[in-house]
Amino acid sequence: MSDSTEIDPNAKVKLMSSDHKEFEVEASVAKMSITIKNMLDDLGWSGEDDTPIPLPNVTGAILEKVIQYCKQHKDDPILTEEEQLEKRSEEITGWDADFVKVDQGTLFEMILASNFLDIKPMLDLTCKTVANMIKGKTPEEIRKHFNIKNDFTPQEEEQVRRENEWCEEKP
Amino acid sequence: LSRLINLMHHSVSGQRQMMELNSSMQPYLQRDFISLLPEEIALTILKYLDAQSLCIAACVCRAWRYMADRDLLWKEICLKENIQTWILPALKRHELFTSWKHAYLTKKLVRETWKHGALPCRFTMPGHRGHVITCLEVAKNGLIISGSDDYTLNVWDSRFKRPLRTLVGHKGGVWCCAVSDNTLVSGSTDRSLIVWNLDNGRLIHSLVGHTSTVRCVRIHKHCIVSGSRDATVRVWDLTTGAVIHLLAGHSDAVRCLECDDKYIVSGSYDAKVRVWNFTTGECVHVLSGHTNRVYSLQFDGELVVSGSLDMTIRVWNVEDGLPLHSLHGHLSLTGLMQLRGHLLVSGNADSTLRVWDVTTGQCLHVLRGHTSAVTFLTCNDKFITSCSDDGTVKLWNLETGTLVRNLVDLSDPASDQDGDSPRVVWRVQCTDTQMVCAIGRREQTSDSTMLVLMDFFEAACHDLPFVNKEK
Repeated sequence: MSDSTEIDPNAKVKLMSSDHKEFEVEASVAKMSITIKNMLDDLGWSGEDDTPIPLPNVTGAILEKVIQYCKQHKDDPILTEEEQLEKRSEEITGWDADFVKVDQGTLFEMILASNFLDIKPMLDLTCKTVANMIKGKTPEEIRKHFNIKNDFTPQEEEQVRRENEWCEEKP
Repeated sequence: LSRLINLMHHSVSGQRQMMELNSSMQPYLQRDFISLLPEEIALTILKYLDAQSLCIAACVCRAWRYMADRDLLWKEICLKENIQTWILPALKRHELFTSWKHAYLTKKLVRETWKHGALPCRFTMPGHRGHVITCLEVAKNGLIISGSDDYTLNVWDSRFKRPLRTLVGHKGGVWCCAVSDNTLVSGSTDRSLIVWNLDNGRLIHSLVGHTSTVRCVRIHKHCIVSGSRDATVRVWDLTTGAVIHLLAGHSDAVRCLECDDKYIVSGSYDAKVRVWNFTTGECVHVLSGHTNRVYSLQFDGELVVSGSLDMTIRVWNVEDGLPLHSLHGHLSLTGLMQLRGHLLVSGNADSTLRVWDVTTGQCLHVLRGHTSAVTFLTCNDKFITSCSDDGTVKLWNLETGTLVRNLVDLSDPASDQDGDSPRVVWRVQCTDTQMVCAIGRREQTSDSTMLVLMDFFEAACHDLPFVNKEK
């Protein structure tokens, strides 16, 4: 097994999506994904090998989004736990805000891909985007927004309403 | 998809085409993230929601309810608001809480009950045969201790609202007391301190040495620190009752003291505040500036705050002993203070309370409402509670300084059937769930002294949706 630090970060890695699309990216970009980084390390990847790494769970369209994200964020500083907590409550702005302006189906796939590829900041960003869609809506608005069927019986619904109505902020 | 192509063909205008396309496409693009994603990812999403949004999410459908009620989400929210220390005793006690969500809900309902809604019923507990109650403490285990100039202390059970026992032993009025776990220490005009076992009411030690009334006492770890009218401070060993240090230096009565691991701070009628090294007993600083008796102290390990009869409050740095701020505004004696982070609440004989920022020395709020001297104040959760010679106990909002409401009002002579002299409230203590105050009359009569207790937790329980009310 070779030490990953020896590899030229500018060396190109080939990635292959589930629908057999090939992407060539810099090693430093690919390694934003802990999953890919581990695969490369396990393979003892030297930088000269140009056999594409198969990613059977990710389509080409989504992999393209993932690569966009990794390119944009590859030089981000590593945050301390405290900074991470602070970041949780921040608004999504700038490049990230544009990046997550996608339909729900794409966002769904992006969440699954960032989870599978183990790209924590991208998973956080996409999950937070969904949370922002939930915030400030009534239960009915949430159902409409995500196309969810209300499967409570009338009795259940009454009980759930009673259990949760206290959360409304009174002056 | 065929329906889609069909639509494209038949639509007339572009805009309408887009709208119809959009509405028919919508269901295909929508995703139920919470039900369809793996559980740990759904939880990652829900972790971004606050309590209110989580409650709304629970109302969406069965799958969402299951996820949004998950204990680990609510535990995180509770820990953020420091609810664990507050609710867990109750959890054991009442067996009502099956989850962190219930704990959170209860906390919130109790807070609402303090603010508005019907006041909880008042439990009246007479005692001390018309004598003044000079000190009132609430122990962590829920015991209430009242000390009186009738030479005794009474121990009350706050859960069943009844007297437990009377501690007899002092040969003079009790003027101060302190509680730590199951140990109670009381100081008296008989010049002694008594260490009591709260569990059985037994006298453990009688601490003799002061040559005048013991006026203030604190328990810190294995030590008892006492201040006396004899101008000294004494440090005693809690377990053996032996004297560890005698701190001499003040030239008049020691009226108040505070301590931490490193320092003991004492305030005196000689207008000085002294800082002592706890371990060696050496006087480290003499804080000079007040021009009259010092009556109250707060100490947070960095700042010393002293309240005086000279109408000022002074803020000092404990390390170098230098003055930082002088707080002006009160018109009389500041005998009561509470330091909460950078907020200082002061209660004054001029009938007002004030909230100050001790880092800037600025007065943030003047709390007007009492019509006579403030006799005591305490802070809990987000509130200040104060009592006064005017016969009321008032609840204030700590952040805004506004009066929330009167918790007790005995000021109306028309409602006072027994006549006699006006009623006064001497002391008040609050936990997050209970308020207890000591009430008497300006001129004492044989049965006028009593404790009044209100339980906001029990009052809130009536509104808890998950409580089986038949139980």
